[in-house]
Amino acid sequence: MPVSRWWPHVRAALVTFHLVAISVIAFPAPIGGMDRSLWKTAVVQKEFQSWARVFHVAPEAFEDMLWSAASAFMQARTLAVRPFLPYVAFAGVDQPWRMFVGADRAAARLQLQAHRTGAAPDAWETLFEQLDPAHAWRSELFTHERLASQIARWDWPSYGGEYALGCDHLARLAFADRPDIDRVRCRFHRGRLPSPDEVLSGAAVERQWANVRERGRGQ
Amino acid sequence: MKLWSRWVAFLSHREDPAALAFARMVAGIAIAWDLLQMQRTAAAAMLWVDSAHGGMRPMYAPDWLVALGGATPSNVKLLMAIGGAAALMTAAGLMTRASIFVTWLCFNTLITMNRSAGGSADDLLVNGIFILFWSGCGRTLSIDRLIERRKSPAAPPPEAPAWPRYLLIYQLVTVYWTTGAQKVSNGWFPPPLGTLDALYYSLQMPSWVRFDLQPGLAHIFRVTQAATLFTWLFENCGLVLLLAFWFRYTRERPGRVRAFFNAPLKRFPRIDFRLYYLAFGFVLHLGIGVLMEVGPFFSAVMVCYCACIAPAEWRAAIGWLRRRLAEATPVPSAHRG
Repeated sequence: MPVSRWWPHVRAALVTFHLVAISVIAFPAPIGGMDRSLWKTAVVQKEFQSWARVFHVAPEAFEDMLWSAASAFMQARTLAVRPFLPYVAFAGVDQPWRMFVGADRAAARLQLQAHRTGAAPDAWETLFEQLDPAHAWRSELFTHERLASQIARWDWPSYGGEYALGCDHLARLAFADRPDIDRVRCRFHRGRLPSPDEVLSGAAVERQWANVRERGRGQ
Repeated sequence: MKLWSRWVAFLSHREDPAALAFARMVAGIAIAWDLLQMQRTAAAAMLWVDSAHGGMRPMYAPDWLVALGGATPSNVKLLMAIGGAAALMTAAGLMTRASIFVTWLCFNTLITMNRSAGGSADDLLVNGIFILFWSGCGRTLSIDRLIERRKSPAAPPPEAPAWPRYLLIYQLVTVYWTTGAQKVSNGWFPPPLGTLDALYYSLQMPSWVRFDLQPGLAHIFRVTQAATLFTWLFENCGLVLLLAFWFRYTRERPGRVRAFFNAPLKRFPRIDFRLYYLAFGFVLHLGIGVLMEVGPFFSAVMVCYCACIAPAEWRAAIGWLRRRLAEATPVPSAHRG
């Protein structure tokens, strides 16, 4: 049989396999979201309350029903995607299109501070704070999308380990840049983002510092 | 069996590879620029170098890289340099298939070593160049083509299989409808289901916005609500784009819906639904790129957009541009009259 006879069929089979693989992998699923501790955060709880109101059910019942449905769906998905995973991993054709699933109404701002050797124990100098042009140490690094995508997650409970590693690394960079400092601390300014009415009326929105990590030189 | 035969025939189409060539150029430039930025901002030393060698965290280096010493600073620099050079060669169409392979290998290795440092732009670029590798996209608008023409001036017009372009179109449709379907926050839904304030709050997220947009954002809250609704509709209508391609492909057939998709506005009978959809998407992605730092996502999407424009349309655009350039070039006085 000449190649021109069978090759179009083989090619069509391979293209079909690719199409099925990316369709199955891309199909909407709560990947990365099956962690009950994440579901208990204020942001997610507010979403549950909003949807529970729409469907006239109690938020707790709505959350439990969603958890059961999502768990069952993810079990089925695990089976469905298994045949395609080696191909997807090898070719790099993953389909993670879960972009801006929800608006984080309590997004936290990272701040990095340094303590000069010999200064008062609570005298901290701000090196960097997100969206603050007055404190822009190594701003090109911080605003790079790859680091920004990590920082966006560091304040979440399940990313504590990543945050610790990140803060340690940033502290090492600060110690290298500034021989006059002996301590570095990372923390998040956490709180609800202001609504349009609050911004226009100038109403203060309560925010607090949280998730504080401190590193000494040589630690 | 008849369906399979039609499917095989559909995937056996061949066409001018101009659209794939533009996709190749955008992908190559986007990856080269991204790697350059990683080096320039020192983000590579933090996010791609293993913690044992001064990076932030342990890396998941593939076996072949581990055998060469792992994610050391010099290995990462080398991968970025080779990947960047190959990406530029890809854009120029020099040794195209080999260049795409090296670009894919280097870029995919780098981004998979630390999956938490990156985003959808990386995945979309890798998906794009993986398809382009099989495509024959270097057969036109490339240095490879110039060399071929120099060797044999009577070389026939270039042709390439059309299925890689179809795959890129399907990839774009998949990105849109799945991201739309996963926007489940009530902030994306209009009242009474939701509040339509997703963009208002997204444009305040300190990790993603380029600068503090308040208090201006509060003044245009209604505009952000309209933009939220249109973004949500645009993404959830991703499958409609696939339908628009089908209606365009079968435009000779009858039907009012088909006629509408092929000319939604009677005043512009040559502009079909696909072009309106892509124009809206272009403005949307440009707006996101201006206001937010989302990496090379704009370029990654444009790789797929290039494939959505038919080769004949690309040739018409090139012809128009050439004519405009010729008209704009002053004619020397000795040649006048």
